[in-house]
Amino acid sequence: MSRKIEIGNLSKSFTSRSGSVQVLKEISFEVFEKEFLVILGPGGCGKTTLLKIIVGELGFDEGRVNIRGGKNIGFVFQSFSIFPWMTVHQNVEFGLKMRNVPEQERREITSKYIDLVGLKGFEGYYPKQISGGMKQRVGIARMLAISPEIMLMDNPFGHLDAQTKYHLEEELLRIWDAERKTVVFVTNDIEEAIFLADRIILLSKLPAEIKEQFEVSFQRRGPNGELLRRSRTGDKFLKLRKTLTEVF
Amino acid sequence: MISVKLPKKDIMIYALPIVGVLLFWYILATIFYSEVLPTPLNVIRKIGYLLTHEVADKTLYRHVGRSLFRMVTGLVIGISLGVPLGIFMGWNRYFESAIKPLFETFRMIPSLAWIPLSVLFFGTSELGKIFIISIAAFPPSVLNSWRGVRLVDPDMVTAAKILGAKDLTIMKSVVLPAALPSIFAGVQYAVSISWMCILAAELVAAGEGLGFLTFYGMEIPDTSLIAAGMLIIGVVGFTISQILRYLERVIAPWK
Amino acid sequence: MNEGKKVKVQVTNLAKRFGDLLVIDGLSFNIYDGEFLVIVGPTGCGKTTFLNLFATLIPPSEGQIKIDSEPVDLKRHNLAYIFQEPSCIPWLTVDENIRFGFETGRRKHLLKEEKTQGRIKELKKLAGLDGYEKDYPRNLSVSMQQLVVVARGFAIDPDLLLMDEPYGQLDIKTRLSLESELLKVWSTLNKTVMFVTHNIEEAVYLAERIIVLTNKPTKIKQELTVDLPHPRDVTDPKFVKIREEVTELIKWW
Repeated sequence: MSRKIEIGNLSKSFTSRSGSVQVLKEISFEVFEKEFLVILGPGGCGKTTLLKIIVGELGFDEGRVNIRGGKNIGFVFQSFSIFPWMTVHQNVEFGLKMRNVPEQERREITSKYIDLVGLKGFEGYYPKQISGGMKQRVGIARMLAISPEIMLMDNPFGHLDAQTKYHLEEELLRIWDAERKTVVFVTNDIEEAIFLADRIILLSKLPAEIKEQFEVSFQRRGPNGELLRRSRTGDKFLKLRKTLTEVF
Repeated sequence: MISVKLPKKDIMIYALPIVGVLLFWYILATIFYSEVLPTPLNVIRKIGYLLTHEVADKTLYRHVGRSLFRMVTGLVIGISLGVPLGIFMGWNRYFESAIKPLFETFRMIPSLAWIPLSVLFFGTSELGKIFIISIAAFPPSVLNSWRGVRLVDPDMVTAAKILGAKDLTIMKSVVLPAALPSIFAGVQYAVSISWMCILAAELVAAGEGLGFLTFYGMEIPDTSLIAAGMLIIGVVGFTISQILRYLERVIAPWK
Repeated sequence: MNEGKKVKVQVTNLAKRFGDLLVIDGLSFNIYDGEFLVIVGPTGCGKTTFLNLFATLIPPSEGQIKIDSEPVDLKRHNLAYIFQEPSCIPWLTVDENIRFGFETGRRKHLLKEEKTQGRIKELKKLAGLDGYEKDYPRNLSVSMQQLVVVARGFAIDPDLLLMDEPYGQLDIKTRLSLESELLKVWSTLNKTVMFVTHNIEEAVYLAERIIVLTNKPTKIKQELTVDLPHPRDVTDPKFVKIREEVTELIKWW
C-alpha cells in the first residue's frame, strides 16, 4: 500500500500567559492510502491538535507533514459545528457552492450524499429539528460532498449516547467502504477504536508521544472482499480490548 | 422545573389581579385622594377625548407619530454606527484592544446626562432629541454585536474554511448569520432603552410628542392627562416589543 | 436470587400520558430491598419521564408506586436522585455537600445522631474523599464531584436511590473506576438502587437484575438476572453472553 500522509518528528507547543505546554513530542507515523487509521489516546487536546495541523489549520514547531497526491481534506468535528441557519440540504451543498459547482451538478451531488448518510427526506429540516446523531451525519455528508481524498474525524461520536454511537460506527464503515477514502479517526474509546480500525496508533498523555501501534486485521473483509461487521464480543476483539486497556 | 400549562378556565389567575388593582386604584382615587389622583374611569375618558380632540394644538396621532419619529431616527443612527463597530471589535483583536477603553468610558455616561450638552449644541430643535436617542441606542448595539461575533463557534469558521470559503464569504455566510441572534437582541434592547428615554428627551421644549404631552399635563395641571400619557406610552412600547419579538422569529427561524 | 427478600418498591400498572401521547404504558415490577436494579432501554424510550414519575416530580396518569407498601410520599420516604450532570452545590464544601440532605426540617435532627455521623464518616472513606472535606467542587475533578454526589445520595439512608446515567459523558477508564466505587459503597451500605442507562455494557457491569424497556409507548420487554460476582470482567465469556442477549433485545439499528 502506498503512503498517503507522512508525519515526521512533529512537535508542537502552546504558549500562554502561564507558560508553555508541549502538546506533541516528536510524533512520526504514516497513513496509507484508503486505510482506516484510528488514533487512540486519553484526554482530547493532543489528538485534536494533531488533526488540525494535518489539515493546515494550526502551525507546528518542528518536523514535517507531507501529503502525497490530492490534498483535498475533509474534517468532521466532535461538536458537529454544522450551520444552524441552513437546512440539511444547504449545509451539505455549502462546499460545492464555494467551489462554484454548477447548480444542476450541485443538486445531484448533494442528493447523493444526503442519501448515503441515510438522511433522505430530511433535506428541508433545520439542525434544531434533528437529533445529535443526525446532525453528525450532516457533518459527514457536507465534507464528503467536496470529494476529499482524506477524511479527518475528531472524535465525531463523542457527544452521542452509546446506542447512537454503535449505529453510526456501523454506518461510517459502510460509507467508508462505499467511498474508498483514507480516514484518520481520533477517539478515546477503546471499543470504538477496535471496531473501526485497520490500524491503531496509541498516544500517551501530554506531551503526546506514540506509545504503540496495533494492526487490526480480523473480521475485516470476507472472502469476496466485502466489508464485515466485527463482533464486539468475539474472542480476538476482547483479547485486543484487554491488551489496549492495560496499555492505555 | 416541570412546566405545567394552565387550562383555559384558569384565566381567572390572570384576570383577578388586574381587576383587583383597578378596584384598589378606584377606591384610592374616589375616597382618599380625589383631588390629586384620577380614577380609572377618568383616565379612560381622557384617552377617549385624546383620540378625538386636539391637545396643545395637535391630535394624539400627531404626538405619537412625532415621538416615534424621534425614536426611530435616533435608533437608526445609533444602530448603524454601533452594530458595525461591535462586529469589527469582535472580529479583530487589535481593533478590539484599541477601541475597548474608549468605548467603556463612553458607556459609563448615561444617555440622559448628555441632555445639557445637547441643549447647548442643538437648542430645542429635533436634532437634540434625536441625538439623545442615538446615544442611548449606541452601547447595546455595540455590546451585543461584539459578543455575538466573539462567541461564534470557531469550529464553524474552520469548517467553512475547509469547505473552501474565503475571508469575505466567511464573514457574510458564517459569522454574520451566527451572530445575528445576538445582534438582534442588541437591537431589541436598544429599542426598549430608546423608548424609555423619550419622556426625558422631550423634557425641553418639545412642542409635541407623547413625553411632551405628559409634561403638558403636569403644567396645567391635569392628572388624568398625565396618567393617560403614561398609559399610552406603555401601550405603544409594549406593541413595539411584541412586533420585534415577531420579527425575531422571521429573521432567525433556526433558533 | 431474590427469593425470601423483602419487596421494597412495588410498581403497579404505571402509565403516563401527555395529552394524546402515551409515553409509559402499564409497567408493573418490584424492586427488592438492597437490590441493584438497572433499567435499560433504546434511545428515546421515555426514561426521563420514567424517573420523574419515581421522584414524584410528575403524577402518574394511571397506576401506583409504593415504597414499603405505602404510596411514595416525600414526607415519609427518603429518595435520592442522582443526575447525568454533576450536581454538587458549588458554594458548599465537600463536607457541606454530603450533609446537605439533612437540611430539610424532618431530617435535621438526624444529623446529631451517632448512627448518621458514623455513616457519613464511612461514606467519605469508601468514596475516597478523606482529606477533601474542606475543598470546593470547582477544585475537584469531574469524577471526584460525582463521588461527592454519590456520597450525598447515600448519606441520608435513602429508601431508594435513583440514578440517571451519571457516567454517560465520561471516558471509559473514569467510568469503570466510578462504577467500581459505586458498587463498593452500595454493597457496604446495602441500599436499594435503581440505575437507568442506555449503555448496555454498563448495565451488565453493575446490575443484579436488568429490566429491558421497549420504545414508546414504553412497556417491559424482558427481565434478566445477572448472577456474576463483583468485580466483573467485561471480557469474561459469561459477561459477554449476557451483554449480547441484552443488545439483541434493544437493537434498533
